Amino acid sequence: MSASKQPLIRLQDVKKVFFTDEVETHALAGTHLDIANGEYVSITGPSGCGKSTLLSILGLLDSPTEGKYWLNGKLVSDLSLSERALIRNREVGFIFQSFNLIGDLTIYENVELPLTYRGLSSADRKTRVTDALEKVNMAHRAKHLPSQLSGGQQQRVAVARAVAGQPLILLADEPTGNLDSKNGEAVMDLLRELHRGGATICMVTHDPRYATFADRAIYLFDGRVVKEEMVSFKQDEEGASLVGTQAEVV
Amino acid sequence: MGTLWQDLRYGARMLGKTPGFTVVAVAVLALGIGANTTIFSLINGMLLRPLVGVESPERLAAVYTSDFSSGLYGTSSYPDYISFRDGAHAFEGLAAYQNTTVSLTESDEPERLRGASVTGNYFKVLGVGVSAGRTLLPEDEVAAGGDPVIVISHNLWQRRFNSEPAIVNRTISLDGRAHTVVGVVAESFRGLHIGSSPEFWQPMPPPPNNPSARGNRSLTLVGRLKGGATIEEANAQLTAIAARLAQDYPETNRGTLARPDEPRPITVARQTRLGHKQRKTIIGVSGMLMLMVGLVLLIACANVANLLLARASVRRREIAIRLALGSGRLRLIQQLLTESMCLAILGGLLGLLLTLWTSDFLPKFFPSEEASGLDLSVDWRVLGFTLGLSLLTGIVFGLAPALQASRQNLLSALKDDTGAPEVHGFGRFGMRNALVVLQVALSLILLICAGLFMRSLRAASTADPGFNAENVLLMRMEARGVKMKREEEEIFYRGVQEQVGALPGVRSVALAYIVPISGGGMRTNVYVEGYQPKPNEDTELNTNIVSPNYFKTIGIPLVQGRDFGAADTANAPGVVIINEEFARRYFPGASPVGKRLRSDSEGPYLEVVGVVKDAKYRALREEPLPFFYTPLAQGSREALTLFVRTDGDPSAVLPSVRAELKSLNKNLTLFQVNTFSAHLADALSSDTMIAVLLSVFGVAALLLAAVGLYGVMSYAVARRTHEIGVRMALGAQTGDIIKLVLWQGMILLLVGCVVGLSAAFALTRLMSSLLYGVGATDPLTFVGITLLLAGVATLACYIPARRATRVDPMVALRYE
Ligand SMILES: Nc1ncnc2c1ncn2[C@@H]1O[C@H](COP(=O)(O)OP(=O)(O)O)[C@@H](O)[C@H]1O
Ligand SMILES: [Mg+2]
Repeated sequence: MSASKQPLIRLQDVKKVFFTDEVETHALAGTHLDIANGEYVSITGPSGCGKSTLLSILGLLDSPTEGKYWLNGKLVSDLSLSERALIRNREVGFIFQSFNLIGDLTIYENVELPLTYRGLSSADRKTRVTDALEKVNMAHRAKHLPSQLSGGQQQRVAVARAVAGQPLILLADEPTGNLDSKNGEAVMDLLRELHRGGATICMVTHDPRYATFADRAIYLFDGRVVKEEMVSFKQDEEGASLVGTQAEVV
Repeated sequence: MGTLWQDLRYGARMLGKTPGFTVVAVAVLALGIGANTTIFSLINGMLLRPLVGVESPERLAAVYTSDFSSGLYGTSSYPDYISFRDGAHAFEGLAAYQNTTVSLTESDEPERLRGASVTGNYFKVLGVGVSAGRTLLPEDEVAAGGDPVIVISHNLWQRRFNSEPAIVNRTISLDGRAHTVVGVVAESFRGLHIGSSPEFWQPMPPPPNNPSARGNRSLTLVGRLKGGATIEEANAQLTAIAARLAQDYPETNRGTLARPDEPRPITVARQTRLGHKQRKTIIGVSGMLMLMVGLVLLIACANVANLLLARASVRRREIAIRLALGSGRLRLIQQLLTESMCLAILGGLLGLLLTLWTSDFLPKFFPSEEASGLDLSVDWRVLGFTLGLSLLTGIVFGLAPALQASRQNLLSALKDDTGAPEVHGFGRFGMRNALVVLQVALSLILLICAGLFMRSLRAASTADPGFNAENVLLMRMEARGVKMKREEEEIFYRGVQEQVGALPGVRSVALAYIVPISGGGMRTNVYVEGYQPKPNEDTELNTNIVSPNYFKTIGIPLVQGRDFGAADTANAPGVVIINEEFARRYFPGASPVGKRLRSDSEGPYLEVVGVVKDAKYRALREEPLPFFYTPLAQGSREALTLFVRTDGDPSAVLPSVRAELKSLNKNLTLFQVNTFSAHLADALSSDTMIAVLLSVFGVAALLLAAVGLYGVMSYAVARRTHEIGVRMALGAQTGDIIKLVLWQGMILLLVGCVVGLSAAFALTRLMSSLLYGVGATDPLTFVGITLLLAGVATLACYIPARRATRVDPMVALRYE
């Protein structure tokens, strides 16, 4: 990773404190993180260590209590609500553990939804939605309702929704958490394909197998990055092999 | 009984556990039920409440002789009365009475009293008791000529004589003449009619017996049916007598305008507290009001039903457990209905309190004279109505939610701990939406009706009556007691006009017999020279007797000819002034001045000397009537009204006018002192009441519908929190979320408006006869009211929409 090249994402000493009933939870306790354009990063760690919080901050769903966040060179840590909504809509694609498709809308409409908030013409929307649905192999179910689809299919639709807007980064929070292993692997394959196509992906997972799908694995513990590993993944006839390079603890 | 008690206790406990829900539901129901009870108490007071202070009022019957041209419910003549009394055996007794006035000349300031001349058997027929002394007896009739006796009302006794028992056998001065008070009538008896509580009763002397007496119909008859006798029997007997009379006295007793060759019809009807015409109007108006408050109650029911549905989804588990434990569906419905009944009864009680307040308040809408004897207090009928309505209400709003709650799927409810089932399509949420649509539609109907009445009232009160009522003082005056001779009278009236006219602040002064817009008037037969009436044409026209300067004083422009003048004396040739409508009808295309007419087929001709512009005579809502005026000197009357046009506030000159009149004649009684404007406002008092009531109901309906819409939208937002969170995560802006929620509300609103507008179009036509100057489908009202409703409804949706934008996507998504 060349230091001269500006990272797509830079977190600098980001802290997140939740105040509930006089209890302070330090969900993130000074996190530094750079993600380069086109990189595929996985985040792992025990439950409650702050993975989702980190992802929410990356996705501008939440803002850090302290610290700075640059997205594509722009400082985004203290934007207004509506500016954040705008960036979420254009630059971020979310994939949730529980798919979060809207039950009353068809598959097509679900994928179209973020595009409507962008004010694209319906013709533009149509090409993008169709492209995205084709990418995830779900074009034939466009008119169906989410409840008519299996979990794996729903998650593929959710992926289509995330990529339809051609965001700078895809954020996935345990995308396989609600799926059986077969469907889970299919979704992981899909993400890897997207990455090969140039997408920047940041994925939270607690499954070490999936973590190795990424270029780089980040280990989070008690709100701190405790370990970063460069993963070079090769798939040959014998199966998956890992070549890891230990990075220093940040 | 045991289970009912158990249900009641359990129901009360459930309601106590959710005080917020209970308070809102009870308040909403109280509003709905209270509105109904209020209108019912009005109907009760005017139409249902029996006469008080009389014995067995259900056996009292009124007897009417048909008028010549204005309907069946007319008054009768004395000789006819005697024939009826002696010939109709269905009656235990038949009495006659006639309203009259006297001046109580006990002090310096004579007071005019309203009372009645009654036949000696009047009190016996009615069965009225006394507070002191005795009532009148048949013997008093004969004595009436010599030493007049009188009985007074309890009210007068209290007011003027401090309830002294010594009043009995005391003499008091009436019209300057000594009368012996023989008794005080029991407090409970306020006369037979709303709007005229007599203060005294004097015996009616039999009139001199001459042939024309049968044609002089001015008595009202009331009889007591024998036990077991029916109205129909009495009717048959009197009709037979009338047929005989028509044969014996064809001159006076045969023929009406519609049927010239038949006996005058006789009608016997239950004695009521309102005149027949008034009764019909009141029934129409109260029917409409009842319909309107029925709508308010329906809206309230829809509202509470919606609250119950929302609660039912919270109580799903409780209900499922009950069902699982083997409670039958019916048993469960009964339990839920008992709860609804508790709510309804509480609402009814509170509504009753509301009615206690309105029963004090509503009569204030009526001019005090008209409201006398109007008792709107809560009696057993109102109580029964409230109870019945409350129970019905409980069923109406409770049944649907109870049915739905008892039908739920046991298993899913038991498994599901969140209590937030996903329901799509026309499920629970569908019913809630339908109820909101109903509320919007009903409140739109109500508001449109209210709007139409408001516009109608405005049109009536701002319509040009043809005269200028501003800055005019009205004062009725009567010189009783010492009867003035004709010449004295003329001098007196001229004096009044000159002296009062000279007072500072007074512009002009006139006298007239009838004050315009008093609801009544004077009609007389008119024969226009050279005009051949069509067969069955009504030749009775409205007329008034006025002094010179009358037109100038009240501001009716003279368009042709001249005003009456000092030269138009009793001995001068008879003259009249007609209005334009008269001229149009009888002298089309010709100049009316110089034409002649007479008010008697024999009498001397009167010459038309002037034409004035049309004005309103009897009522503000009337169409132009042909009308003519005769000069005061040629048609003098006992009581006249003084019209004083002033420079400024008419009440400012009142003391000096009073003093001036007093100095001219110390026996003068002044009454009905009012400004002309206030007099006109009185004429619109019942219109005002209707418009105000409808507006209150309309606003209540609007608020209820808004609350209903708000409730449903809040529920929808709560139900969609997660979805809204997802949308926000995907980049929806505040505006997108508001649009999303508002759109859902707007669909309900739109459907409600379409339904409401169509219904209103159909309904308002029915009340077009009650409207003035505005069409039943007045587009301005329809559009304006719809916009108003849409505005309020949008606000009601906007608040939950606004709340939806404050959903934290983080929190919403965490609830996965
Ligand atoms: N909105 C919140 N309010 C209070 N505490 C929170 C909130 N979100 C997360 N936390 C706390 O912050 C810590 C990190 O949570 P999270 O990021 O969800 O962990 P992970 O996704 O790694 O399991 C946890 O202790 C959690 O309880
Ligand atoms: Mg998490």
